[in-house]
Amino acid sequence: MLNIQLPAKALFAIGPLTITDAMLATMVMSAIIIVFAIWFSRTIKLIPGRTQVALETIQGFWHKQASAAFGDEEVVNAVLPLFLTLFILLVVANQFALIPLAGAMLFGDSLAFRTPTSDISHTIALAIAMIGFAHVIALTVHPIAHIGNFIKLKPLFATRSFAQLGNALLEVFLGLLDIIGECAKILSLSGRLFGNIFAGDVMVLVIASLAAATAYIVPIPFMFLSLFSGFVQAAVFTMLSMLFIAGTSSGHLKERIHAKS
Amino acid sequence: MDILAAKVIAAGLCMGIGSIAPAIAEGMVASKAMEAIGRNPAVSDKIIPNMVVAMAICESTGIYALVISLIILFAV
Repeated sequence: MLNIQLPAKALFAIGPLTITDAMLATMVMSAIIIVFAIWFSRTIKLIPGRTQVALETIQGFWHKQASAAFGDEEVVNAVLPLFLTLFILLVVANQFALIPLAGAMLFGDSLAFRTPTSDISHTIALAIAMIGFAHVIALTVHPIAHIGNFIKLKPLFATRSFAQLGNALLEVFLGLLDIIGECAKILSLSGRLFGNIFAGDVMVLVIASLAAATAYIVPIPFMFLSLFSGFVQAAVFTMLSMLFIAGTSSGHLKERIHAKS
Repeated sequence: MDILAAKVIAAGLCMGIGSIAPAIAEGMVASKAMEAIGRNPAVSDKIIPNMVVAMAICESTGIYALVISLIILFAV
Protein backbone atom coordinates (compact mmCIF):
# COMPACT_ATOMS: atom_id res chain seq x y z
CA MET A 1 0.00 0.00 0.00
CA LEU A 2 1.15 3.54 -0.75
CA ASN A 3 2.11 5.83 2.09
CA ILE A 4 -1.01 8.04 2.01
CA GLN A 5 -2.34 9.47 5.23
CA LEU A 6 -5.27 11.76 5.84
CA PRO A 7 -4.21 13.62 9.01
CA ALA A 8 -1.09 15.80 8.78
CA LYS A 9 2.03 14.33 10.34
CA ALA A 10 3.28 15.91 13.57
CA LEU A 11 6.92 16.99 13.28
CA PHE A 12 7.82 18.65 16.58
CA ALA A 13 6.20 20.55 19.43
CA ILE A 14 6.66 24.03 20.85
CA GLY A 15 5.21 23.72 24.34
CA PRO A 16 1.58 22.57 23.98
CA LEU A 17 1.50 23.49 20.26
CA THR A 18 2.18 20.61 17.88
CA ILE A 19 3.69 21.69 14.57
CA THR A 20 2.63 19.50 11.63
CA ASP A 21 4.11 19.40 8.13
CA ALA A 22 1.10 21.27 6.73
CA MET A 23 1.56 24.04 9.30
CA LEU A 24 5.25 24.33 8.44
CA ALA A 25 4.34 24.61 4.76
CA THR A 26 1.73 27.28 5.57
CA MET A 27 4.30 29.33 7.48
CA VAL A 28 6.88 29.12 4.69
CA MET A 29 4.20 30.03 2.16
CA SER A 30 2.98 32.99 4.21
CA ALA A 31 6.57 34.22 4.48
CA ILE A 32 6.95 33.99 0.69
CA ILE A 33 3.71 35.92 0.12
CA ILE A 34 4.55 38.62 2.70
CA VAL A 35 8.06 39.17 1.32
CA PHE A 36 6.68 39.32 -2.21
CA ALA A 37 3.95 41.76 -1.15
CA ILE A 38 6.42 44.10 0.61
CA TRP A 39 8.82 43.97 -2.34
CA PHE A 40 6.03 44.49 -4.84
CA SER A 41 4.35 47.37 -3.01
CA ARG A 42 7.58 49.37 -3.41
CA THR A 43 7.76 48.85 -7.17
CA ILE A 44 4.20 49.96 -8.00
CA LYS A 45 4.31 52.46 -10.85
CA LEU A 46 1.79 54.60 -12.69
CA ILE A 47 2.72 52.84 -15.93
CA PRO A 48 2.39 49.18 -14.90
CA GLY A 49 4.84 46.43 -15.68
CA ARG A 50 3.82 42.86 -16.52
CA THR A 51 3.39 41.59 -12.96
CA GLN A 52 1.42 44.67 -12.02
CA VAL A 53 -0.92 44.23 -14.98
CA ALA A 54 -1.53 40.60 -14.02
CA LEU A 55 -2.24 41.45 -10.39
CA GLU A 56 -4.45 44.39 -11.35
CA THR A 57 -6.46 42.09 -13.62
CA ILE A 58 -7.07 39.77 -10.65
CA GLN A 59 -8.02 42.74 -8.46
CA GLY A 60 -10.39 44.04 -11.14
CA PHE A 61 -12.07 40.65 -11.48
CA TRP A 62 -12.74 40.37 -7.74
CA HIS A 63 -13.82 44.00 -7.55
CA LYS A 64 -16.44 43.27 -10.20
CA GLN A 65 -17.64 40.14 -8.36
CA ALA A 66 -17.78 41.99 -5.02
CA SER A 67 -19.72 44.87 -6.58
CA ALA A 68 -22.25 42.38 -7.90
CA ALA A 69 -22.52 40.71 -4.48
CA PHE A 70 -22.52 43.72 -2.11
CA GLY A 71 -23.76 46.53 -4.35
CA ASP A 72 -22.46 49.40 -2.20
CA GLU A 73 -19.09 50.86 -3.30
CA GLU A 74 -17.83 51.73 0.22
CA VAL A 75 -18.66 48.24 1.52
CA VAL A 76 -16.84 46.71 -1.47
CA ASN A 77 -13.72 48.77 -0.76
CA ALA A 78 -13.84 47.76 2.90
CA VAL A 79 -14.18 43.99 2.40
CA LEU A 80 -12.23 43.47 -0.83
CA PRO A 81 -8.80 43.10 0.91
CA LEU A 82 -10.19 40.14 2.88
CA PHE A 83 -11.26 38.27 -0.25
CA LEU A 84 -8.14 39.14 -2.23
CA THR A 85 -5.96 37.88 0.64
CA LEU A 86 -7.99 34.69 0.79
CA PHE A 87 -7.69 34.18 -2.97
CA ILE A 88 -3.93 34.82 -3.11
CA LEU A 89 -3.38 32.53 -0.10
CA LEU A 90 -5.42 29.72 -1.66
CA VAL A 91 -3.83 30.05 -5.10
CA VAL A 92 -0.34 29.79 -3.65
CA ALA A 93 -1.32 27.07 -1.18
CA ASN A 94 -2.96 24.89 -3.85
CA GLN A 95 0.11 25.09 -6.09
CA PHE A 96 2.56 24.46 -3.25
CA ALA A 97 3.56 21.09 -4.71
CA LEU A 98 4.91 22.87 -7.80
CA ILE A 99 7.63 24.72 -5.84
CA PRO A 100 10.86 22.94 -6.82
CA LEU A 101 12.36 20.67 -4.13
CA ALA A 102 9.63 21.56 -1.61
CA GLY A 103 8.19 18.05 -1.92
CA ALA A 104 11.56 16.38 -1.29
CA MET A 105 12.90 18.22 1.78
CA LEU A 106 13.27 16.11 4.89
CA PHE A 107 12.76 17.03 8.52
CA GLY A 108 14.42 14.37 10.63
CA ASP A 109 13.40 11.25 8.72
CA SER A 110 10.01 12.38 7.38
CA LEU A 111 8.99 14.83 4.67
CA ALA A 112 9.05 18.42 5.91
CA PHE A 113 6.28 19.89 3.75
CA ARG A 114 2.84 18.92 2.54
CA THR A 115 0.38 20.91 0.41
CA PRO A 116 -1.27 23.08 3.09
CA THR A 117 -4.83 22.76 1.76
CA SER A 118 -4.57 18.95 1.60
CA ASP A 119 -4.90 19.01 5.40
CA ILE A 120 -8.57 19.28 6.38
CA SER A 121 -7.75 21.34 9.49
CA HIS A 122 -6.55 24.18 7.28
CA THR A 123 -9.66 24.30 5.09
CA ILE A 124 -12.02 23.97 8.08
CA ALA A 125 -10.21 26.84 9.81
CA LEU A 126 -10.61 29.05 6.73
CA ALA A 127 -14.29 28.16 6.35
CA ILE A 128 -15.03 28.83 10.04
CA ALA A 129 -13.22 32.17 9.75
CA MET A 130 -15.34 33.19 6.76
CA ILE A 131 -18.74 32.08 8.08
CA GLY A 132 -17.83 33.36 11.56
CA PHE A 133 -16.93 36.77 10.09
CA ALA A 134 -20.42 37.08 8.59
CA HIS A 135 -22.13 36.18 11.88
CA VAL A 136 -19.91 38.33 14.07
CA ILE A 137 -20.58 41.39 11.89
CA ALA A 138 -24.31 40.69 11.98
CA LEU A 139 -24.26 40.14 15.75
CA THR A 140 -22.34 43.33 16.53
CA VAL A 141 -24.76 45.48 14.52
CA HIS A 142 -28.16 43.95 15.30
CA PRO A 143 -27.68 41.13 17.86
CA ILE A 144 -31.34 40.54 18.75
CA ALA A 145 -32.59 40.72 15.17
CA HIS A 146 -29.88 38.34 13.96
CA ILE A 147 -30.60 35.74 16.64
CA GLY A 148 -34.27 36.20 15.79
CA ASN A 149 -33.54 35.02 12.26
CA PHE A 150 -32.68 31.59 13.64
CA ILE A 151 -34.87 31.25 16.75
CA LYS A 152 -38.15 32.56 15.40
CA LEU A 153 -40.35 33.22 18.43
CA LYS A 154 -42.02 36.30 16.96
CA PRO A 155 -44.77 34.51 14.94
CA LEU A 156 -45.42 32.28 17.96
CA PHE A 157 -46.48 35.30 20.04
CA ALA A 158 -48.57 36.74 17.22
CA THR A 159 -50.82 33.68 16.85
CA ARG A 160 -54.57 34.18 17.11
CA SER A 161 -55.95 30.80 15.97
CA PHE A 162 -54.97 27.14 15.64
CA ALA A 163 -54.23 27.47 11.91
CA GLN A 164 -51.79 30.28 12.67
CA LEU A 165 -50.25 28.22 15.47
CA GLY A 166 -49.38 25.49 12.96
CA ASN A 167 -47.69 28.01 10.69
CA ALA A 168 -45.81 29.52 13.63
CA LEU A 169 -44.51 26.12 14.75
CA LEU A 170 -43.39 25.47 11.17
CA GLU A 171 -41.50 28.79 11.23
CA VAL A 172 -39.75 27.82 14.46
CA PHE A 173 -38.76 24.47 12.97
CA LEU A 174 -37.44 26.11 9.77
CA GLY A 175 -35.38 28.53 11.89
CA LEU A 176 -33.76 25.60 13.68
CA LEU A 177 -33.05 23.98 10.30
CA ASP A 178 -31.24 27.20 9.29
CA ILE A 179 -28.79 26.67 12.18
CA ILE A 180 -27.97 23.22 10.79
CA GLY A 181 -27.67 24.84 7.36
CA GLU A 182 -25.01 27.24 8.64
CA CYS A 183 -22.97 24.31 9.99
CA ALA A 184 -23.42 22.50 6.67
CA LYS A 185 -22.02 25.57 4.87
CA ILE A 186 -18.77 25.24 6.83
CA LEU A 187 -18.62 21.52 6.09
CA SER A 188 -19.34 21.90 2.37
CA LEU A 189 -16.91 24.80 1.86
CA SER A 190 -14.04 23.03 3.59
CA GLY A 191 -14.80 19.56 2.22
CA ARG A 192 -14.90 20.79 -1.38
CA LEU A 193 -11.48 22.45 -1.25
CA PHE A 194 -9.84 19.68 0.78
CA GLY A 195 -11.24 16.89 -1.44
CA ASN A 196 -10.06 18.46 -4.67
CA ILE A 197 -6.52 19.21 -3.53
CA PHE A 198 -5.99 15.97 -1.65
CA ALA A 199 -7.39 13.95 -4.56
CA GLY A 200 -5.02 15.75 -6.94
CA ASP A 201 -2.03 14.83 -4.77
CA VAL A 202 -3.17 11.21 -4.37
CA MET A 203 -3.85 10.87 -8.11
CA VAL A 204 -0.36 12.07 -9.07
CA LEU A 205 1.18 9.81 -6.42
CA VAL A 206 -0.78 6.74 -7.59
CA ILE A 207 0.05 7.33 -11.26
CA ALA A 208 3.72 7.90 -10.49
CA SER A 209 4.01 4.70 -8.48
CA LEU A 210 2.05 2.40 -10.84
CA ALA A 211 5.15 1.14 -12.64
CA ALA A 212 8.72 2.22 -13.32
CA ALA A 213 7.69 3.42 -16.78
CA THR A 214 5.04 5.83 -15.46
CA ALA A 215 7.25 7.57 -12.91
CA TYR A 216 8.51 10.51 -14.97
CA ILE A 217 6.60 11.76 -18.04
CA VAL A 218 3.18 10.16 -17.56
CA PRO A 219 2.05 12.11 -14.41
CA ILE A 220 2.42 15.50 -16.17
CA PRO A 221 -1.15 15.65 -17.63
CA PHE A 222 -2.54 14.71 -14.23
CA MET A 223 -0.41 17.39 -12.57
CA PHE A 224 -1.84 19.87 -15.06
CA LEU A 225 -5.35 18.72 -14.16
CA SER A 226 -4.72 19.21 -10.44
CA LEU A 227 -3.12 22.62 -11.15
CA PHE A 228 -6.23 23.70 -13.04
CA SER A 229 -8.58 22.42 -10.33
CA GLY A 230 -6.44 24.20 -7.74
CA PHE A 231 -7.03 27.55 -9.46
CA VAL A 232 -10.74 26.85 -9.94
CA GLN A 233 -11.25 25.75 -6.33
CA ALA A 234 -9.45 28.84 -5.02
CA ALA A 235 -11.82 31.00 -7.06
CA VAL A 236 -14.87 28.95 -6.01
CA PHE A 237 -13.98 29.07 -2.31
CA THR A 238 -13.51 32.84 -2.44
CA MET A 239 -16.66 33.41 -4.46
CA LEU A 240 -18.86 31.22 -2.27
CA SER A 241 -17.59 32.76 0.96
CA MET A 242 -18.24 36.18 -0.59
CA LEU A 243 -21.81 35.17 -1.43
CA PHE A 244 -22.39 33.73 2.07
CA ILE A 245 -21.06 36.89 3.73
CA ALA A 246 -23.12 39.09 1.39
CA GLY A 247 -26.23 37.00 2.06
CA THR A 248 -25.85 37.05 5.85
CA SER A 249 -24.49 40.51 6.61
CA SER A 250 -24.49 42.77 3.55
CA GLY A 251 -26.96 45.21 5.11
CA HIS A 252 -25.16 45.09 8.48
CA LEU A 253 -21.81 45.93 6.87
CA LYS A 254 -23.39 48.86 5.07
CA GLU A 255 -24.89 50.25 8.28
CA ARG A 256 -21.65 49.81 10.19
CA ILE A 257 -19.49 51.53 7.57
CA HIS A 258 -21.90 54.40 6.99
CA ALA A 259 -22.25 54.94 10.75
CA LYS A 260 -18.46 55.31 11.05
CA SER A 261 -17.99 57.77 8.21
CA MET B 1 -15.99 -10.56 5.95
CA ASP B 2 -12.48 -9.32 6.45
CA ILE B 3 -12.47 -5.67 7.64
CA LEU B 4 -9.95 -4.60 4.98
CA ALA B 5 -12.05 -6.16 2.20
CA ALA B 6 -15.16 -4.44 3.55
CA LYS B 7 -13.32 -1.09 3.54
CA VAL B 8 -12.15 -1.46 -0.05
CA ILE B 9 -15.61 -2.53 -1.28
CA ALA B 10 -17.28 0.32 0.59
CA ALA B 11 -14.87 2.90 -0.81
CA GLY B 12 -15.36 1.59 -4.35
CA LEU B 13 -19.15 1.59 -4.07
CA CYS B 14 -19.14 5.06 -2.52
CA MET B 15 -17.10 6.49 -5.36
CA GLY B 16 -18.95 4.62 -8.11
CA ILE B 17 -22.48 5.50 -7.01
CA GLY B 18 -21.54 8.96 -5.81
CA SER B 19 -20.07 10.08 -9.11
CA ILE B 20 -23.15 9.36 -11.26
CA ALA B 21 -25.14 12.47 -10.37
CA PRO B 22 -22.29 15.02 -10.57
CA ALA B 23 -21.31 13.64 -13.99
CA ILE B 24 -24.85 14.17 -15.30
CA ALA B 25 -24.98 17.63 -13.72
CA GLU B 26 -21.68 18.69 -15.26
CA GLY B 27 -22.79 17.41 -18.64
CA MET B 28 -25.96 19.51 -18.38
CA VAL B 29 -23.99 22.63 -17.47
CA ALA B 30 -21.57 22.09 -20.36
CA SER B 31 -24.31 21.39 -22.90
CA LYS B 32 -26.28 24.50 -21.93
CA ALA B 33 -23.12 26.62 -22.06
CA MET B 34 -22.24 25.23 -25.50
CA GLU B 35 -25.78 25.98 -26.68
CA ALA B 36 -25.48 29.55 -25.45
CA ILE B 37 -22.10 30.00 -27.12
CA GLY B 38 -23.46 28.54 -30.35
CA ARG B 39 -26.32 31.01 -30.29
CA ASN B 40 -24.10 34.00 -29.53
CA PRO B 41 -20.36 33.32 -29.93
CA ALA B 42 -19.46 36.91 -28.99
CA VAL B 43 -20.23 36.37 -25.29
CA SER B 44 -18.17 33.16 -24.93
CA ASP B 45 -15.58 35.06 -22.85
CA LYS B 46 -18.24 35.77 -20.25
CA ILE B 47 -19.84 32.33 -20.36
CA ILE B 48 -16.74 30.16 -19.98
CA PRO B 49 -15.63 31.40 -16.48
CA ASN B 50 -19.18 31.16 -15.18
CA MET B 51 -19.44 27.66 -16.65
CA VAL B 52 -16.25 26.56 -14.90
CA VAL B 53 -17.44 27.89 -11.54
CA ALA B 54 -20.87 26.28 -11.95
CA MET B 55 -19.20 22.99 -12.87
CA ALA B 56 -16.99 23.15 -9.79
CA ILE B 57 -20.07 23.59 -7.63
CA CYS B 58 -21.91 20.72 -9.36
CA GLU B 59 -18.81 18.63 -8.85
CA SER B 60 -18.90 19.13 -5.10
CA THR B 61 -21.27 16.23 -4.36
CA GLY B 62 -18.83 13.97 -6.18
CA ILE B 63 -16.02 15.46 -4.11
CA TYR B 64 -17.94 14.71 -0.91
CA ALA B 65 -18.21 11.09 -2.01
CA LEU B 66 -14.46 11.17 -2.66
CA VAL B 67 -13.74 12.59 0.79
CA ILE B 68 -15.92 9.91 2.39
CA SER B 69 -14.21 7.13 0.48
CA LEU B 70 -10.75 8.54 1.34
CA ILE B 71 -11.76 8.64 5.01
CA ILE B 72 -12.99 5.03 4.77
CA LEU B 73 -9.74 3.95 3.13
CA PHE B 74 -7.11 5.84 5.10
CA ALA B 75 -8.54 7.20 8.34
CA VAL B 76 -10.99 4.65 9.80
